[in-house]
Amino acid sequence: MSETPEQSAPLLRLERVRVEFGRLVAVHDVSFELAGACLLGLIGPNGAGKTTLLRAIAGLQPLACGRVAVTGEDINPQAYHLKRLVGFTPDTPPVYEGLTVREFLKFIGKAYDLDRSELDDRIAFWLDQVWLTEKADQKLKTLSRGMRQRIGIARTMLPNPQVILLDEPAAGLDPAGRVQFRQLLCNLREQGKALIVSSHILADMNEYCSHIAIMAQGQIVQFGTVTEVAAGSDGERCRYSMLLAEHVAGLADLFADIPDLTAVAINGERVTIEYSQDRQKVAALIAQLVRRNVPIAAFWPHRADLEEAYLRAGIRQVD
Amino acid sequence: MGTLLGPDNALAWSQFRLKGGPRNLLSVLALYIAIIGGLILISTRMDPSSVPQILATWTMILLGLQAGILLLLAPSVIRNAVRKDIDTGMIESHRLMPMTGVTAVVGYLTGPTVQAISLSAATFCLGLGTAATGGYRIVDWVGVNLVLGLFAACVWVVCVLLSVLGKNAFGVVIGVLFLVATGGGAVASLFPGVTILAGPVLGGSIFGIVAGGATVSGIHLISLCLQLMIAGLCFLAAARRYCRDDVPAFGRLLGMALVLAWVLASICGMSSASSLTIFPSMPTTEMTDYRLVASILAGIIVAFVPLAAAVLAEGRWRRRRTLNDPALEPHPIAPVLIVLLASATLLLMPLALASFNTTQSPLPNATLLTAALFVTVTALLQARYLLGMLYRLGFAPTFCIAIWVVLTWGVPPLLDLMWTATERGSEARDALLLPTWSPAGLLLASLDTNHTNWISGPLVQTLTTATLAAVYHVTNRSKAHTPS
Repeated sequence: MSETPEQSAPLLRLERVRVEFGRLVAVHDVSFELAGACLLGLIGPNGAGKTTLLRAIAGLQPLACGRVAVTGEDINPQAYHLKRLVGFTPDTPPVYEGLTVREFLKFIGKAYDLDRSELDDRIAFWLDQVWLTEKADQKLKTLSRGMRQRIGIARTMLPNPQVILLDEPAAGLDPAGRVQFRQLLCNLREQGKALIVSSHILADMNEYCSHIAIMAQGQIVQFGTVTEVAAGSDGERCRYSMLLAEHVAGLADLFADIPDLTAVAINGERVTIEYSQDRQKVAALIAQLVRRNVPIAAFWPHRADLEEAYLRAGIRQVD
Repeated sequence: MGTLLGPDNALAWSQFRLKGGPRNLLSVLALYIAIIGGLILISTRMDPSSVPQILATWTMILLGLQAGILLLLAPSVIRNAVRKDIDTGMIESHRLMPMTGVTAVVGYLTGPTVQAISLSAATFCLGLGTAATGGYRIVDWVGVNLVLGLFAACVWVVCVLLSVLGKNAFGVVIGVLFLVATGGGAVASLFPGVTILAGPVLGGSIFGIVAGGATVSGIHLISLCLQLMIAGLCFLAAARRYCRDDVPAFGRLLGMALVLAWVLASICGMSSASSLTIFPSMPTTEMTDYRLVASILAGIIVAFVPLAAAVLAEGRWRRRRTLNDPALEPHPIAPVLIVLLASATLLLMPLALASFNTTQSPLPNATLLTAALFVTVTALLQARYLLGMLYRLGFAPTFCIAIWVVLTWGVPPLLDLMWTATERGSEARDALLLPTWSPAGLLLASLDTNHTNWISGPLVQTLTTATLAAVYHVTNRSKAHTPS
């Protein structure tokens, strides 16, 4: 993952990370690197090992094998200086319900030894960022799930970590909150932080992720930039749709004669095919089809779509 | 890494806030002083002619209250705070923070207990007044509160450890303490190590001091040193466990230190047996041998702690090696080394008693020393192989080891008893000497210098160890897997 120009040395490096629960291998030899200003979207069915992987990176889950390194140093329970660099928000962030929002964040600030003179300003800033300024003096037990989710995000961001891990962060947010959250993620990315976000809302991830990893049964089955993953496994092919002026008989046989072309669906005048992304090749294909009397009224490429890529990966739901 | 003491300890600060903060603290304190002070005042007004006696009684009541606050209220508050953080998942949030285990344990000790500490301070001040006018010596009141306070601090540390360990650990220890305290001290008297550690409260010794029947003596100082040593180890274990729940609280080194602490406490307890007349029925001189045997057997159980840690660490290391772990660390301390070290440490008990050579602790014979060495090595080796298999299979080791101990230590003497009851085959029974098949029976048999025909015991124990070792190695070759 070193395509983006602004990337430098990897902030996060995973080498053959394996997590076992007894005989169950929850995460199976996962390796990748993540540089600053990268936002990796982690997708996969329930039980694929996404949360376990995030917990392993955060140092909460013991590894059966492998290593997780932040800024080149291995994470371990005694590496307290590295803990400042990694922030993790679980899907249901735990809070002290008896404290007010401000008290809770003050507790976090004290635990991270944040400068007392600027702690109040930082708390105010993050309360504003997660739209909870008005709730600052309310007890946490009075807040809704979505608000607690936002507090969890503020708790993670308060110490200004460089590697940010978010597990289903948008699950409890309302539509407006989701839009603001997307903006927040983009801002963090622009600040050069490395982020990993696990989510089932693929449409959102299409917008804010730079990279995507599809997980299934503890393994990463696809990994790459959003465009690569959405386009297909090899990153060189793309789907196209054609609208024909009239129905053409024997179209499937005609397509079968053309090398590298795969017919995905033929529904009357509407046809979907898979072919190379190379523009020259596409132009040649169109010319060839026209020569063979295929009345093409319209021809357009499919927009890279994560949902389609995810379904194409043929991942089964884990029971 | 967080400040250790005061409001800058994040955990202490948050726990104090969760308990209602300064407002709640002041109101509870004021209410407590008003109620107790009011009751003292009313009781003296009701019978002005016997004010010194009434205040003397109040001093004892206040001491009882003090013990209740420090040994019941505060530990329950600590337990609730720790358990709640674990049950709600807050402990994982803590583990993400750059906060050391030591800072966290200090936070749990000082944060939720502020109220209890304040009530204790108020009780102490009220007691100063009642003791002075009730005819007691102020120095005794201060001394007793000091003994009780330090003992309570050690109890709090143990309480944090037990709470971190699990929901049931607290109940198990309460059960054990109940067992120790019952039977007129018969059980406690078998374990001088426990007796000396619990000295300040068992049998009402601190109450005796206030009442003028006793004084703060050297034995209290020894007891205090041992308490602090055990509490120190428990503190480090709690801090370790707080940071990671996938590792045993007592690792190999900390576990070995615990074994050493147990040996020291037992030696001190046995050598100070005459000073430890905590229970009226507690025998002193004639039970030294039995105490030694009981302490060695308890020591073997304590030695299971570092042994289990060593076996687990070795199993994980082997698993990592099998997986070609890129972060493979050097080979951990071999469990056999722990077996040898623990056995040597436990052997210090009979050796130390022999060197004292007092009338209370007669010189242990060579047979006893040999038997003690044999029993500790075989029992620990058996546990080593059993633990290795249990970890590999993913079974709960504590329960299985407890069953194994009951079977191998308790069943042979029980079978012998049943055989005796049938009054048949007495010659075969004498030849087999079933009780010596158990480590406890073998140690007891070694005390009887006239009895030399107990070869069957060592033979059976050696065979059991060899069988377990063979099964362990055969299954280890066929399948190399340990839980993560």
